Amino acid sequence: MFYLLIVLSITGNQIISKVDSLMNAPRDREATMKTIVIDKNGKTKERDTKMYEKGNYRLIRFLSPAEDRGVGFLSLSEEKMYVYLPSFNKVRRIASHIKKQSFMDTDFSYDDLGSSNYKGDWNAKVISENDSTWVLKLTPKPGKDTDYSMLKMVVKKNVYLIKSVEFFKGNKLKKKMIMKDYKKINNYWSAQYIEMRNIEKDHKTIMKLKNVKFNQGLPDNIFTKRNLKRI
Amino acid sequence: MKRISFIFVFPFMLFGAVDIGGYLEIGKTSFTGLRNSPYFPIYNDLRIEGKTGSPHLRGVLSFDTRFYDFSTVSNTRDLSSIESLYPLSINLYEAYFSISDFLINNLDLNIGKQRIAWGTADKFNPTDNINPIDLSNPFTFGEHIPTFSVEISYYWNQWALNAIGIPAFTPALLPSDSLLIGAIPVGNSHLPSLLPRNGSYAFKISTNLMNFDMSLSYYYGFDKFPVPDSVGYVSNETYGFDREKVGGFDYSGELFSIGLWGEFAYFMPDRYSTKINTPVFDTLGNIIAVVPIDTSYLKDPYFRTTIGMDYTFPHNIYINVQYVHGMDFERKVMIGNDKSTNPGDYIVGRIEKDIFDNLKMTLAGIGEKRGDSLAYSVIPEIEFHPYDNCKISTGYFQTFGNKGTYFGGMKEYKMAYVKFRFEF
Repeated sequence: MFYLLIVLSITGNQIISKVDSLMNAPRDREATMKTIVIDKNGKTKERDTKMYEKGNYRLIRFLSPAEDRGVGFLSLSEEKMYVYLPSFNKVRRIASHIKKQSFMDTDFSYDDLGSSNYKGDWNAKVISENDSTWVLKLTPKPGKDTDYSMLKMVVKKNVYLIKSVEFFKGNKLKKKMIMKDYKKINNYWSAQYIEMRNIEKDHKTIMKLKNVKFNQGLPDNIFTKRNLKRI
Repeated sequence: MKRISFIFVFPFMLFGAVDIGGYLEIGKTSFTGLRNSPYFPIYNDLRIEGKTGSPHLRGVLSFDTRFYDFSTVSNTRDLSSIESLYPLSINLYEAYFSISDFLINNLDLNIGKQRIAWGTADKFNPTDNINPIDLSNPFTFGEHIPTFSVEISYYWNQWALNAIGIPAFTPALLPSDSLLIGAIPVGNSHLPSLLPRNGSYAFKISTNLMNFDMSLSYYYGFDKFPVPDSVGYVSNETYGFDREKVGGFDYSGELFSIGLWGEFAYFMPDRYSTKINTPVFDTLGNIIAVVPIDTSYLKDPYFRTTIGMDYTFPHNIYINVQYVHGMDFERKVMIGNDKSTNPGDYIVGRIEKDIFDNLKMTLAGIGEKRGDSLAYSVIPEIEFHPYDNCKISTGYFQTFGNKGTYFGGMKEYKMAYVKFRFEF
């Protein structure tokens, strides 16, 4: 009964705070990822990547297709990102305007792939709920430069995990993200399947995570320009 | 072919698994502004690269095959030569080893024929002086030729120190015609002797300050472009290569989400003596003597710089603009004793927009100011990406403006091109 009272009285901001802390709980994470881009005619393009994360640091290395093999992306903060292009043999700084661009021709923007910080950027309100989920409306905090004017997020009640997020510009639904196949690995939850639908383009990208490992003690020197350039 | 495959794979058999990749790029360019629109003889390119090793020891080997799809037969005897019917050159592109944490932690060592790219700007890099530039194909402008060198890098927190030794000199690869850089020097050339004292070296120290990446660099080596040793009416022109020192600075970062970068290089050529062989005539107009007059071709320090910015506007419209003072092939050269020409000023930019998932449109342009003369070039291009690893691009190049400029000199050369690229 006491638990029920707490759950009933929980606010939207408390829920996204729990979501953030759950998503950011592991010290580090590494995984291989298959990305499948499907256009409106059903034509598919696949990409394989290896990803390392630690706090705000992220390193992504492209394994296939051949045209992207060896390309590396390093993010150290929102304003400090680098890309390594093997054809130029050069690590190049990229500015944060790139966050508006799609990430390597997928339906995810660089921003969408950023670390979970809903609490820092958004105010959340519970707009409906049922036995298993809350539906939250997220609006940007004053002064926060977000690409969307509103998010509609569905959160699982039992574990505070995101089920879906809808991204709006004005009142127009632009994208919808679905997260499923959650698996508990080393005591941390991880969605093995993430789908991003671009509603306007009738286009979607599926990310399938494999070999997910948490808390492997990734050293900081993985997240350096020196390592980004390593083949 | 079997022999090439064996040569290619053998060094890696010592390591184990080899990751092989590369690309094939073929294309055609036609001068639409000239009578009958002749083809521009640009080579096609096949590059094969193999990489292997562990995180601490890696090897890279690649071959560059340049081939033409037209014959160079000038004599009927050439008809019996496959090289004349189908010209081909195979060049070892890169061959180097890379050792991480060599002897001590955070010390890396790279040895071999390698590309060491310095600078933060887009293609116009005045501080990128380790490897000579490759001007053989105007469509790959900014590419450099890997050269044999030893590079030691040490990393410490936000700092990186690079030291490079280049035992032997390699000059720039010039175009086969005068389209790109105006007059191609023709004459005997003298490379610096193969002596240890003719080696080159370079240092760079890099860090991050106020969220900007920046570096200071120093290069002591040779100018990669030939400089006249002697000129005159009665003797062949001869060319040599001048010693130079280059102090460089570069930065990259962002302000208000706008990407910013810049490079500045201060070139200090050694005073280079050029002999002007001047004939002395008698009263009947016969040459009775040739008097060499010593002068200087390169003497004064000069600088080249690039300042650039980029931004992505809504609807995925990407814009990249750079101001460039001095192209790689420009110097402050002396003409006579009191006159000199300075590197030119350029604005280079491009706008990119994805029209569909697999179709990108780019409009690139170059504006040039030289003295009172102006010129500009436009290059619209469409890139089609039908499948992964495959790109087809087609575009057009046209220049307008005064012929007293580099680009104005290309006014007649309107070019239409199509390129196919396949990566594997």
